[in-house]
Amino acid sequence: MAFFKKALVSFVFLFNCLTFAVTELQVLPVQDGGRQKPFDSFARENLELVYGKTSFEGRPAYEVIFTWMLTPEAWAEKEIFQVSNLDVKKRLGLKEDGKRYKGQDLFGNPAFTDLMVELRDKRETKEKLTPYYQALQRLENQYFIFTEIAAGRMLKVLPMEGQEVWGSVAELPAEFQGLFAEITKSFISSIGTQVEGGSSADKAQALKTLDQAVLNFKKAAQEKSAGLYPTGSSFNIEVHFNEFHPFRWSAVFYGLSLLLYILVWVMTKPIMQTIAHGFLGVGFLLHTYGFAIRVYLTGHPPVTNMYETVVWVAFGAVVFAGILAYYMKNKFLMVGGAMVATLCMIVADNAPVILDDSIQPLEAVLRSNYWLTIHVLTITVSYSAFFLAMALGDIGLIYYLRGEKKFASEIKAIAQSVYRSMQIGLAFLIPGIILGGIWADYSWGRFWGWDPKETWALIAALGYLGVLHGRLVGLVRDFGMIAGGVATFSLVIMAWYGVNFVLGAGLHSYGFGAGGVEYVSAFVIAHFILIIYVALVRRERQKHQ
Amino acid sequence: MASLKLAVFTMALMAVVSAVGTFVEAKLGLEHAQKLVYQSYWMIAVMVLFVTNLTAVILDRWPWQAKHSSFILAHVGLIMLVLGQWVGNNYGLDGTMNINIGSENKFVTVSKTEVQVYSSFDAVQYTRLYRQDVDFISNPPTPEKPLVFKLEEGELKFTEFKPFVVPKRDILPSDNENSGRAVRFQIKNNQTQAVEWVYQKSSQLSDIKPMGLMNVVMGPIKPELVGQNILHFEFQNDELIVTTYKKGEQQLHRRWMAKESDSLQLDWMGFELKLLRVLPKAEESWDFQEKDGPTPLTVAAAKINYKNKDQWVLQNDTLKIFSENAVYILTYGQKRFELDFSVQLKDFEMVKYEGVNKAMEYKSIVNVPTIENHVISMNEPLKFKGLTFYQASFQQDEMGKPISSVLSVNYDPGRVLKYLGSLLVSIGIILLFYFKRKWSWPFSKKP
Repeated sequence: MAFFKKALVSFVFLFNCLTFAVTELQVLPVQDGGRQKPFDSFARENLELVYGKTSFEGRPAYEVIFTWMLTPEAWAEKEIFQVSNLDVKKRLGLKEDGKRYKGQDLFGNPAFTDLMVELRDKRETKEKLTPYYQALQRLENQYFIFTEIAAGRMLKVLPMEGQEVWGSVAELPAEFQGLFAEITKSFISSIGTQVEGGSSADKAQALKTLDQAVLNFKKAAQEKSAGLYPTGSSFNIEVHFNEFHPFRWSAVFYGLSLLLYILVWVMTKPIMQTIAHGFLGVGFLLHTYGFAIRVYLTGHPPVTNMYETVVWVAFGAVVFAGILAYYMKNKFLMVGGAMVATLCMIVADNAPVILDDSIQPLEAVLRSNYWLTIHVLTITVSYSAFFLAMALGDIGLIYYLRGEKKFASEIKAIAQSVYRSMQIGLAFLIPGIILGGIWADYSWGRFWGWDPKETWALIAALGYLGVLHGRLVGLVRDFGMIAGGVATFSLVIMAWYGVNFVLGAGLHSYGFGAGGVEYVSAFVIAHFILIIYVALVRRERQKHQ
Repeated sequence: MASLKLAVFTMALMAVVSAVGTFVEAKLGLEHAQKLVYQSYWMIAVMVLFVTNLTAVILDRWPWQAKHSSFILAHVGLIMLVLGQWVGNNYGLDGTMNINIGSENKFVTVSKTEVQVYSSFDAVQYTRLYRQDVDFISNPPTPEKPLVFKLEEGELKFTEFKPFVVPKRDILPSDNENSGRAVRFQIKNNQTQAVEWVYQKSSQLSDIKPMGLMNVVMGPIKPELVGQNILHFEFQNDELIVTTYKKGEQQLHRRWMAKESDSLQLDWMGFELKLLRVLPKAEESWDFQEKDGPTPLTVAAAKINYKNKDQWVLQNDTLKIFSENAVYILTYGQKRFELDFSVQLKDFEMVKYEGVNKAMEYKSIVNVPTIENHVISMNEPLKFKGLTFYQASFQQDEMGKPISSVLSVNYDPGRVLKYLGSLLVSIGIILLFYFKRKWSWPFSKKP
């Protein structure tokens, strides 16, 4: 582990030298949300909550958040508050087609107080918050975050003696106030040189002064509270992870490989196949690199929330596709693998409100890496295999449309791959369910309690077992296998996403979330329509023969 | 019975019934899903079909060969898992135990419910007349089909069951000399506003309403609140005295004599206090609000009719009923099992994530006979006398300080079957891949 850490740190260092520098302000330690984090992460998370993105008009989050403290009045007049819920917009009398609004239009609005009272009354009933109340909750958060950051109360930068909670900018003792004022001053002049377009030497000099001011503050903080103040390079790695965002690059490369695979598939150009493999390989390396950093930063396996499982499923799909393609010599497997990986990585990266990618403290019951690793990793990796089976099934359905006779050998090969993927999936899902039972027995005292998450995992397993058993008696043939690969995946979607985001019940409550139901339903319904359409086309053709 | 088509059908049936169960749980809660679906005759029928089918296919392969081993192991394992679950459900114990810090408990509460009726002629000594298990979720009483307990005088009838009600308190003026006192107030500034009651039951007790930056207190101020922002109400000879204490100040900040519909400027962040009701004599009255599904505030309630008078009793609550000569006490609630030893909670420790109010881990330090200072934490249970004690959760007071620990207590005679079944299924799956390689590929048979 020590070697792994060292290797990672030196690799990140090398990467930074080659690509971009991290400013000292970005790595300034901040206490927030139950952990110590670099200012850069603090700024990105809060800007995302308020504005919906991690940068504002090309300016990085840490600059934006810092200026909230300097000129809150100016920011209150900018359209930075994202409001998406139509009912909330109506209640506040806002333009309904807008995306973001001015702070003064929201919080200076007399209706705002009424809405907050409404939210509080709803909370008192302890009922589940509907999307409307969740939107109100977000509005409350946006207001809180903006005003608290602007007042300097939320940015906690200094460990205080005898207190667990760090001191915020507004509470700094006199000597640190001076040091922080230096940071502010040099920050302003650094921004000034950039906005007014000073020479590059000026800019570099201003940045250097700013770095020095932050270093002075850190040094003083270090001296005042030795042991409590973080040192070391993990913050540099986190900021590097934020800036470089390896998962986004792996999505890009997976997407490129998918395009090439499709070209190879359509035009049969073998040389492009090698390039496509290359792109997939690069995507996979970046994906692995991202995981390595994330595991290093969080200290637990990367399957503790919806976002992480989506990224993990993409990873598993590439691995399974590669292994199966190697043994089965079937080019469709790589197309399927690239399809799943690209889709998952794009979804993971583009739905920040639904799939939260920030690093949050874990629920007490999940703080067992041993069980988390073996139970959750096995269950979620089975989703990878089933997802792959679905992607292959989609390709198979297209072949059915293009002509069952003409592409008989392709269809046969795809049906075999779907079958193998399902077998792999079950070989992970069933032991995963059993391991879940053992963990539940060990930590809650019951092996099986009909909790919705475990029940839906069982239903998915029964679905795939049904398809596999059906094949043995001839209920399921090639078409049944291909259509089954697509249709049965809807059970996995229910177990994976539906239980947490639609049912929202049970003991696995630490993974709950909201949003995206319309997209996921559309995805499932579109596939069912495709299956029915292909089945009808097949029947028509068979009639005419 | 050994048909594969039947197997596929059974699997589909199991999947559908289980899926229905999850939707019932999402709407009505786990207890309803258990009673109405998972433990229903439906489910039992499906499971019997499943086990019969599994047994039949295993016997059908007789005489067994080596290549059958994966198949047989996996299917025998499944039977064991189902049987283990059945044994555990029917002969095991699955309950919870709530222990206050520093005290002890020997009762395990389970989810089954029961009704008990006691009678007394002198209101001092009570004799138990009835003790009966009831399952109102599966068999709710109705006016047409009530659950009847015969008493010396008349009948006690359960006539209605509401699974989810929120008891709602109302405060009314009273003429009773021993009543409590209450104030309904509004507090607002340009950012927020709130309307609340404070109700003091008797002069020794106090009611505390934490309201963000301040605590509103009626009655004696507890020592731990001294030095905080406090808005204090107090009655002196039916006159209301309002006092404010400011954080960090030793002396009271301001004091008013006030009456109903007065408005006071508190000079704290522009807060204004408006006194909506001032009741020197007040009493509580309870009303129910019915809900469609469970929330943390709902509780089940049953309607009781005695001598044509209706009364409601909440689950885990008692009701006193007076006849001309006797007093009856009726309890309706979860069953409790008495252990032959008690569990003492010496201490409860909670570690929070830094700077926020979120538990990172928590553990109970308990004593049982022969074992001292055993630590029960998440994922680390205590095994004692065939029972296993798990850390489930904890309860906090209104200031966020833990006051009691909730342990789940479990005895599962089906555990061996479940673990053995798991093992067999897993070995079966591994062997399946091993034998699969030797078998021919079913699709690739050329005609």
